[in-house]
Amino acid sequence: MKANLLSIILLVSSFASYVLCAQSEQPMLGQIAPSFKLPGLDEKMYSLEQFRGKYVVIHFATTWCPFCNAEAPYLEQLYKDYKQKGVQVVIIDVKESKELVSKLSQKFNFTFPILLDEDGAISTSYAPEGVLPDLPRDEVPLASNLILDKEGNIRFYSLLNTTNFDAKLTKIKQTLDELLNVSEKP
Amino acid sequence: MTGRLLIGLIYLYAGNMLPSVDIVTIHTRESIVYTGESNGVEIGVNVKEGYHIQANSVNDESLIPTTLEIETNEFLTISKKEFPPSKQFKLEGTDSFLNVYDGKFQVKLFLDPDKNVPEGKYVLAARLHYQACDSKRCLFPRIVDFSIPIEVKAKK
Repeated sequence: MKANLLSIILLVSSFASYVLCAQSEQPMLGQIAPSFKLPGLDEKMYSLEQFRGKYVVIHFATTWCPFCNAEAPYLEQLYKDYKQKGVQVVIIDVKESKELVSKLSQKFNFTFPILLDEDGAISTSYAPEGVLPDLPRDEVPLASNLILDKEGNIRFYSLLNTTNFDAKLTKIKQTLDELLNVSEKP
Repeated sequence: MTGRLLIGLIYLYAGNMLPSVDIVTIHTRESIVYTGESNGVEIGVNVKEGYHIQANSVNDESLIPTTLEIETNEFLTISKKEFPPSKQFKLEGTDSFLNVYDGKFQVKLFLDPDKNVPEGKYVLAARLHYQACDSKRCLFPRIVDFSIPIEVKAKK
C-alpha cells in the first residue's frame, strides 16, 4: 500500500516538474533565428542570411490582422528612422496570395521588403516550442515582432517579451536603441 | 482503489495540459416557429475570456467580420439577422478602435416558414465565421458549425 502511494507521488511529482520546467524556460530568445528564403512582393528572393551584419526587425502579418494594420505606419516610420543605423525591417506575410498582399503594401506604402510565406512553413519555424500549444504552429507568430542582432540571434520577441499589443513599437525602439548603443561603444 | 486514484490524477493533469481550442462556442435551444410569419430565434454565442472577435459591422474593409450562414430553402427563409451592438476595443498606442464582441451575446434570426411547411421538428445547419484576437496577438479566421433545432407549427 505504502509502496503504491509512493509510486503515485513520484509519478505525479515528475509530471509536475516536467510541466513547470517547460513553462519556465524562454524558448528561442538568444538563439539563432530560423533561416528562411522567401519571395518578396517585388519578385526578388530574400534570405535571412543576406541581412547578416544588420539588426533585423521581423513582423509576422496578414492583411486582415487588425494589430498588424494598426502597427503598419509605425513600422514604416521605424524603418525610416533606423535604416541609416544599420537596421533592416521585413514583413513576413503568412498564408496569403501575392495579389492580396500587394493591396496591403500599396495601402501603407512600405519601403521595406514584404516577404510571402504562402504555405506558413517559416511562420511555423518561428513558433516557440511549448508556447500556445493549442494553436496550429503557423498561427503562433502572427502579429509578433522580433529583433535579430547582427549575428542572427533573437534578442527580442514580442510574443514572449510583452503582455499587450504596442502599435507604436515603443518596446522595440527601446530595445533597438539599447542594442545600437552597446554596439557603438568603443 | 490505487489504480482509480492514479487514473484520476493522470486525467487531472492531462485535462489541465490539454488546452481548449474553442475560442467561440454556440448555444441553441429548440424554438417553436409558426408558418406564414416571421419568428425570432436566438443563438447564444460565447467568446472565451481574454479574447474578442471582430463585430459584424467592421470599420475597416480589410478586417474579417463575424457572419452567420444558415441552411435554408424555398420553404424556410431568413428574413433578418440581428447582431448585437458592438463594443469598442482600443488599439493600445493609437487613437483607433475596433468594433468587437466579447463575452456572451445573442444573435437573433428571423425565420419565415412558408405556410405549406409540414408541422414537425427540423434541424437547420448553421455556421458562424469569426476572427479573434487577444491582448497582443490575432488568430486566423475560424468557423463554428452548429445546428438550430426548430419545431414548426401551423399558425392558428
